[in-house]
Amino acid sequence: MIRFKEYMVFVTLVARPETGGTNLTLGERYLAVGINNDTYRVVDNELMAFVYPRDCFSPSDLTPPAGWTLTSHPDGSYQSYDPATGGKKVIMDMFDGDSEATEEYLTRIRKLLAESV
Amino acid sequence: MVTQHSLPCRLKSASHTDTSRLRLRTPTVPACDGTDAGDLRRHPVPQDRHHRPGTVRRGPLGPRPLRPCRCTARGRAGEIPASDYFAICQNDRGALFGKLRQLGIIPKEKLGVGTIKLTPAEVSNSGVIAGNTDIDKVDILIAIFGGKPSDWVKKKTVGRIPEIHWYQGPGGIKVGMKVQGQHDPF
Repeated sequence: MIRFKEYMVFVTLVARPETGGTNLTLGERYLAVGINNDTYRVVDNELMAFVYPRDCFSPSDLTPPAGWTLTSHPDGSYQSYDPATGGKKVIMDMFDGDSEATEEYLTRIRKLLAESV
Repeated sequence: MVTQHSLPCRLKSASHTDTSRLRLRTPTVPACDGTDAGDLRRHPVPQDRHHRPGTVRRGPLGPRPLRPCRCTARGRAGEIPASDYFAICQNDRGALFGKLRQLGIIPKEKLGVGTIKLTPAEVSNSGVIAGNTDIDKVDILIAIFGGKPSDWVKKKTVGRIPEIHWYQGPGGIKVGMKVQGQHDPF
């Protein structure tokens, strides 16, 4: 799959989330690998992709880039993932402790971050 | 139709030909129409939703043993193993749980919550794995506990070994708490 740099989304942390976010630094720029109605899934300093409110980042009004997977629901909500991360399944399996998924996820994320430099 | 067996004892000895007497008394003695409804009118029983021990009622997959009544469930919360309910119906669990919740049968504060205790620091440092409709089980969670998709998040501890996962819903309720890698209770 041909990958373009413009598919990558970066956001800057401008406010601390109410909970979590211990591995984020104010003012730092982070890679976003998922976009929902009101949240971004951001790769933090420990390379974990947690979900944070959009308000904590700038810009806060991003729309999913072309090429990302998009799942819409009847109530208007949607989820969009950067396919280069392996999508939702790889991320969820990684969080659930699956060693293969973790390895795949970290490989993909490191590659993405290396490309973005 | 008025039959003799549906009448009170004092009328059973009355002659069937004594119709004037029957006409006077039948308005206060509901006739048996051969259905349960008629029987209930004559022998009213409490129509609450409490179970009668030892009886069997029809569930989605056929007759099944009754669960303890809701009073017992509330009095000794956690007595009903969540696994019992999960075994009831694999086809439409969301709808079934919704009905059980309406009936007040599920001890909702306890369902799916084990004995894992988290410190306030662990809760405040926890991260959100998924939220809203991104949660695969959000429909089931809403059916059981209420709220709307945006009220729900799936969270995990950060820096604790083993990691703990749970769903957090409206009002901050925490359900489905489990150790990372364990089967999702929903």
